[in-house]
Amino acid sequence: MGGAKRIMIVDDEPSMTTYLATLLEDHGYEAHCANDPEEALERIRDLRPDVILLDLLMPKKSGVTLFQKISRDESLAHIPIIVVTGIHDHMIEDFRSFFSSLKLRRPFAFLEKPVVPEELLGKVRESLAAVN
Amino acid sequence: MFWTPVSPKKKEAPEPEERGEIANVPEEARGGLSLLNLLPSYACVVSGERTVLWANKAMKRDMGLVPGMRCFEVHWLREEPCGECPLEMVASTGKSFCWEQSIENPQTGKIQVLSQLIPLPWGFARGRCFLEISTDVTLFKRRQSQLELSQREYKALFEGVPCYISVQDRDFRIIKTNGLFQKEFGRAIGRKCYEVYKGRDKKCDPCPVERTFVDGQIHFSEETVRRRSGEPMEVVVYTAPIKDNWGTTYAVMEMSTEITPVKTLQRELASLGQAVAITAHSIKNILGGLDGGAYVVRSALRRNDPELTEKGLSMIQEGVEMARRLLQDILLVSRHGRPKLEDISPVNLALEVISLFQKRAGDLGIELQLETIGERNLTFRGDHKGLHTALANLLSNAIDACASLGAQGPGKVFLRVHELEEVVCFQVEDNGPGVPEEIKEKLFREMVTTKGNAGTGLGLIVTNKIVREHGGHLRYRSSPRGGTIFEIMIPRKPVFGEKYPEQTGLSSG
Repeated sequence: MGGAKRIMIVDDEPSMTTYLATLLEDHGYEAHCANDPEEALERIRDLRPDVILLDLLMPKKSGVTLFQKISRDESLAHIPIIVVTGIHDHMIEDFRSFFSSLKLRRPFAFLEKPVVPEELLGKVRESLAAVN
Repeated sequence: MFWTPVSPKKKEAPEPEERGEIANVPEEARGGLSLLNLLPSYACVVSGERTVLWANKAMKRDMGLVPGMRCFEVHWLREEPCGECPLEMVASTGKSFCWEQSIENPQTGKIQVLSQLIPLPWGFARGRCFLEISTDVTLFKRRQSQLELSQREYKALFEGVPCYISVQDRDFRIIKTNGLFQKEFGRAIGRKCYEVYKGRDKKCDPCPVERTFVDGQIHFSEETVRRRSGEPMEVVVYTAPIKDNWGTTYAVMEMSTEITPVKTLQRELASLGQAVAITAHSIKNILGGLDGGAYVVRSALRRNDPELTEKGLSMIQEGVEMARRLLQDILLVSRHGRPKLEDISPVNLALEVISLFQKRAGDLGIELQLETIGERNLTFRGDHKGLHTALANLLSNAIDACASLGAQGPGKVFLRVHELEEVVCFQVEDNGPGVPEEIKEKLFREMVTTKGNAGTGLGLIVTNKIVREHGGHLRYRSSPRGGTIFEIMIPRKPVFGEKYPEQTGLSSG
């Protein structure tokens, strides 16, 4: 997998990370999963992924907190983050406006679960192209 | 009606005094009697024998009076003096007398007059005389009876409308109440409205009564008030000004109509709407999981990876399991009818539920503890299966919350049973991470799940429905240990029909 782009998937649901990892691997990416958001930050620092897929509602630590920690870390701030969330429709707007109010950085894209494979792959491609 | 006076004693040539001519009147009385001609009232001078000696112009004109007639002939077309005639009394006491009577007016029929019989200080030719002045009060009496009718109608309205009515003065002191008000709120005259309606010691803010006093307009608001039994009641309140002749509002009428059943229905509809939205969301999650599982299986078969195939199949199995749980919850939420009642021992119920979770808690390294306060262990009437489900939902949530603590553990979950006089209280406390900040405000109103694909999101709705079916409350608050405390309060005496209104489907305490 020499030149394969590394994608870090952070979601507390193992079935979700399995699915997304399988999907990304099938399309030539190197997928890494973290079900524990606390461990995720360390893994991200070690791996230096090219893209991060991040769930928002996780019981231990919210995706928002993790997002802010990554954003404040200068060595990680360049990595595009795609939010993948299963929150209710009526709360999505709240999160969107929250993210658009952030000054430091914003998520590259905001995707809702259930994930549409083509949409996810498209956003991953776009985010990689934007960085390069 | 036209009346022709009859005279039983028509005389060929009446004596001058009997003709009622002023010439027969003593000199000193003439001036006074002349003035009486100017009056719009009926005035006549009668003798002790009730003969009309003199009549003023109005009386002659309206009564068609022939001088010499007896007064009872003129007034009532009678042949005998009236039984209640005050003449003798006035003659004997020498004091004037005032009374009300109805007399026949040949022009207009029966009229109501206010009469005064005054003994005159001088006599006519035949001895003592009396002056009778009668004023037509028919119109006044008609107005009076209209007023009385209006008052009766107003009273019937005041007492009959299905509203609680109170009238308040500028100091918010109740000065009048209707019967329905007294029945629900007790005696309130002289007490402040905020004290009676809400048990407060200062006025409400905003206060619709105050607004009406300020602008003289009708205002309305929705309030939760307290019956004298202490039970809350939701009402819609209208306040209307009561103004004096100069247009100044001197009091305000407050009319309240109970809307508790409407609000309950509204909450049920809102809750149903939430349940539908949550169900749709859950189905979306289930389909997403099944879709993902199928994709993983297909990919694993292509890769010839048995381990991945197993994972994919597990995902499909999880989806099916979640659909089953969702179906169970939907059936519970849509269940109708009263709960099936039986005698329940609160401690035994708690023991049963806690034993279900001992293994799961132990596997996760979570301490699960039962605490009882009160030691009465009296039974109460409730739906055993329903309350079992409600408690199990809360306990399951608490264990899930602690499970996410990981290394920050150990997780602790307490199930407490407080046995109080009127209510049985079950408390489930965890030391988990609490409600995530970003969804705190909406979690209990919208019943969202933090469990991703694991929860249907209907658990709290189901629990809340079961508790409310028992006339109880479900509340939550932050725990001093950092987690959350959920509290179920069930009245010992079963109360059905949503007698306890809540601010939202679930209230925070």
